[in-house]
Amino acid sequence: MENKDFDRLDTILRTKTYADLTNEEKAWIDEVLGKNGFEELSLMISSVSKEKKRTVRPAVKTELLREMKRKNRGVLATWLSYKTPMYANVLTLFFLMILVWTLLPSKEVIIEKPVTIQVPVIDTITVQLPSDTVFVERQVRVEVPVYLTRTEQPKEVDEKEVKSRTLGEDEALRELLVSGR
Amino acid sequence: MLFKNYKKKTDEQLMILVQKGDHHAFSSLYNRYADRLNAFFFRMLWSDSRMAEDYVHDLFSKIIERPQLFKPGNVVKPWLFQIASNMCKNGYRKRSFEVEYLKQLQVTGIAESVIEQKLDNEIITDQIRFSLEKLEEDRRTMFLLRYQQDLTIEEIAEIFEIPKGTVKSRLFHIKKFVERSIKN
Repeated sequence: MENKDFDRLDTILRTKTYADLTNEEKAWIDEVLGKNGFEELSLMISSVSKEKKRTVRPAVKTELLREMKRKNRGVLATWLSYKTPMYANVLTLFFLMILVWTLLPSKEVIIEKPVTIQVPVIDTITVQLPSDTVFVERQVRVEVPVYLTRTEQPKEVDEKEVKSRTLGEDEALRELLVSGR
Repeated sequence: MLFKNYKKKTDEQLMILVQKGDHHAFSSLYNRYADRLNAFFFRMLWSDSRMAEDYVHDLFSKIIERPQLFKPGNVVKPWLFQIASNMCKNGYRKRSFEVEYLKQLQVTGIAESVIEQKLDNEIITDQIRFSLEKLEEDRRTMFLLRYQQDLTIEEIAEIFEIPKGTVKSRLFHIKKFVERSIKN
């Protein structure tokens, strides 16, 4: 019952003055509130509803926005602008330098540099020919077509091996030269 | 800022952005509610404009500090006014303590304090203020929320966490106060 009464009173108070009320409404209002009560309440509501907003000084918003930005700034910005006394920064740097100096292992620096050394190889072969040996010199010329194909990277010649073999040491070559066959 | 149209966003969407640290969203939310909350605080707190602004500042500071207090599913408007009305309750408690303290000072004969001077300065001959001050704390809050801030009965019920019927009943009983005030 009270709730229905409230809804009715609420609507009337918001929309009408006492003079605008119908006879039926007047009778009900007189019973519930009375003319003076209605007018008093109506005045209060109309006064209060006129002041729905009240301007806040702009400084309040500025301060709040600064607070908001300060709270939500990134980690990097916080670190960069973190205020520490100068002596603390100097001490930190000093200790960091000592730490790096102590912890880093000392390494010997070896620089590899290729050096070319030319060693002359002198080899002497003694050939004893029999007296009845006749040399017949004949020139043979055959043209052989050569086709070069490359399937893989050419292998480097093992210079060491080549250099170590001298004519004196190569038995097969020596035999050929001596026998003449 | 360039790609988000904050004006078209609902209060709840803005609040979620505020939780993510979006200060443009905060600014939009502030623009929507600061003046309304200021008017509410002004009438609730003895028509003291400076105190009202301080309370607006404190309320939005709370939002900045603890935006997670807003839970998904909440509606921003009643949520804000609920915080505001709780702040007023604390304000009343503090004020009653100050008044008690003043009385004690007078009894002990200690010289007039700064608090007393402040209270004296705040006395404004305002008809609405006097009428409102005669109302009980909860009814004053309800009255202002309903007729100053145009909140619905549902929203007021949400703020006070009571059934709609109770809100209507309490508001209806304001007539008793009016009758009494006329008789006086």
